[in-house]
Amino acid sequence: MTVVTAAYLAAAAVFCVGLYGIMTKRNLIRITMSVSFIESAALLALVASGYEAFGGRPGAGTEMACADPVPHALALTGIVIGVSTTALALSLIIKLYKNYHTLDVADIKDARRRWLNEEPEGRVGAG
Amino acid sequence: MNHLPALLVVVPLFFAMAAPLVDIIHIGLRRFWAFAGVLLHLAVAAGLYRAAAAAAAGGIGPLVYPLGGWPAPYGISLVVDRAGALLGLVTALGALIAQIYSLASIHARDGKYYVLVELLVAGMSGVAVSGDVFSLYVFLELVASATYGLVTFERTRYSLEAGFRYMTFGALSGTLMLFAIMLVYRSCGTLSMAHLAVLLPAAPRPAALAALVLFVVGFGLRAGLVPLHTWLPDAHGSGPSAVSALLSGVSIKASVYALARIVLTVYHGVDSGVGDALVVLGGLSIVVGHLMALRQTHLKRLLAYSTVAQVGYIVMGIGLGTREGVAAAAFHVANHAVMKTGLFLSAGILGALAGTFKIRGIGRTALMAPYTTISFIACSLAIIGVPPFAGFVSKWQLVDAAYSAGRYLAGSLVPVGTVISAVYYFRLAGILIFGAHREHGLIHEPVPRAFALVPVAALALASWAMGIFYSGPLAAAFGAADDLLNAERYVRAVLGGGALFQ
Repeated sequence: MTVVTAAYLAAAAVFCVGLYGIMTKRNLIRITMSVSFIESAALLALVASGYEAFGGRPGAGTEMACADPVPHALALTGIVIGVSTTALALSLIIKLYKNYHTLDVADIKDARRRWLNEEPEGRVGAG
Repeated sequence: MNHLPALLVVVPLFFAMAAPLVDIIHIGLRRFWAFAGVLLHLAVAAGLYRAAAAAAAGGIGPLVYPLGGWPAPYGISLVVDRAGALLGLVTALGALIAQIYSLASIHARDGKYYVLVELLVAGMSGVAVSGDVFSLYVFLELVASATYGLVTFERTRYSLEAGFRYMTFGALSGTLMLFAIMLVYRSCGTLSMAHLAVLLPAAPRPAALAALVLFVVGFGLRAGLVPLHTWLPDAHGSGPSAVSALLSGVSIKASVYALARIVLTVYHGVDSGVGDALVVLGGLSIVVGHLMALRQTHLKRLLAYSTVAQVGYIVMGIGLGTREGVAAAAFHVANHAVMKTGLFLSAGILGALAGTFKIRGIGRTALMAPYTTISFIACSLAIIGVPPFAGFVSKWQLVDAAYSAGRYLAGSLVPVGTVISAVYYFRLAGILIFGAHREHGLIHEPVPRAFALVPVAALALASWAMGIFYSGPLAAAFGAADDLLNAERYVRAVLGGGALFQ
């Protein structure tokens, strides 16, 4: 098994862990962590695909062989997008906690269902 | 050298980023600044559409704008054809309408709102002109980030929860697109859509198909295709009404356009089973969306479920893959933008007057706002597909295209959906006019000022006019379909030293 195959397998494993987390976890922070997991999996796969020298690349098969920089540039952009999304999610979690006094998705959903059926909606203070 | 394609993205970005500086000068300038940005963007989008239509009429095909002068496939090129230009025009008009409505309803204090709308417009425009898959991904993420902010910026309990769920689904969809991009780059060594269209047929079949599946699921998540729609009704139903209108009427079209571009142009049409999958998903969305809308108790959630169904019509048209089917889809994109924006905006006025968006609380609101109610009913008739209105034309086209493609079951789902939607829209109209006023709501949404009626009435008129004078819009839709389906001309324009944008 080459190092690239190992990286792909690791990416697949991390992706599965993240997907499992999104589907089963009830805690908002754990869900956000799972989202970060699947983003990391994509980045890992991108970096690995850049390392893999394949036909037609400059320097492939010679002593000058080098990693393809394009997937690495894509991964950098992906990191920026992932970090900003995570920051936004965490700030939302703070607002949600101030509001519902819980981080449990099921409790929050219950509260919403109650609201849709009876209660009027209240505005949350800024902060 | 004419820089319109770049300006389509740069203008809204500039107006978004400079908005806080304008605030420093005078806080009252904020609205005029935002309004100027939207108007200027509309002018650019209209100019771009004219250029694309003229080029197509002259037999030149898509226009290419190599950024920094680097030719494709080495540099990044923007590509403008009638499909992309149509998306740009729909975005610009939708943003203008929403902006006029916002002047009447969003408080001037909420400066974030105007920045986010400009960012959304920039992202949509980027999707419309991007010529490579990675720019497409980045601009879709920009659209998504702007809409996360728009859904949650009022910070009501409901919108916070909806926004969080929307973000989780959005991040998952972005990751799937990233995997797909990794796969196509690994098997073809390029990101340019035109170059991919050339190289993908010779690429390893499993990798190309896996990438296609990932693209379809990723875009489907953002477009709210059943069974990936569970975030949509809450996200589209919980923000302020101008935001709901922008989200449902405009922003969702970015993912639909990306889906059409990848499937029809990059993958050369709908063979290899993807057409069947899209028709099935579209049919499923029509049935589930309409049935779920039937049992909603919240006005804006009902309209959001109706969006799920309408996206189903559009995706079914794309999945048919014929010229008529794709044209029906393109026409329905424009129609749905008009009708659903009109419905959400008039629902915003009615709900604010009633003090609630719960359907049992909006009885007799028609007496308080007769013209708004008439506009609401006109847009409802249009979206049901009653003959003199716009929805009828695109739905008729879709049924016709489905039958001539031999997909009788899919074609029959369209009238079935029409009947179901007639039930819930007529029920709404009945409650608005004759219903008992059973509940006094306490929502915080302020009643918009009287001129909010202007965009609402304009949309109602447009949904009627597009049904009467349908030949012009229909020709534009066929033009967009031609450009989406003709991969060969697209490739020649980008790679073969075709016409530069000038």
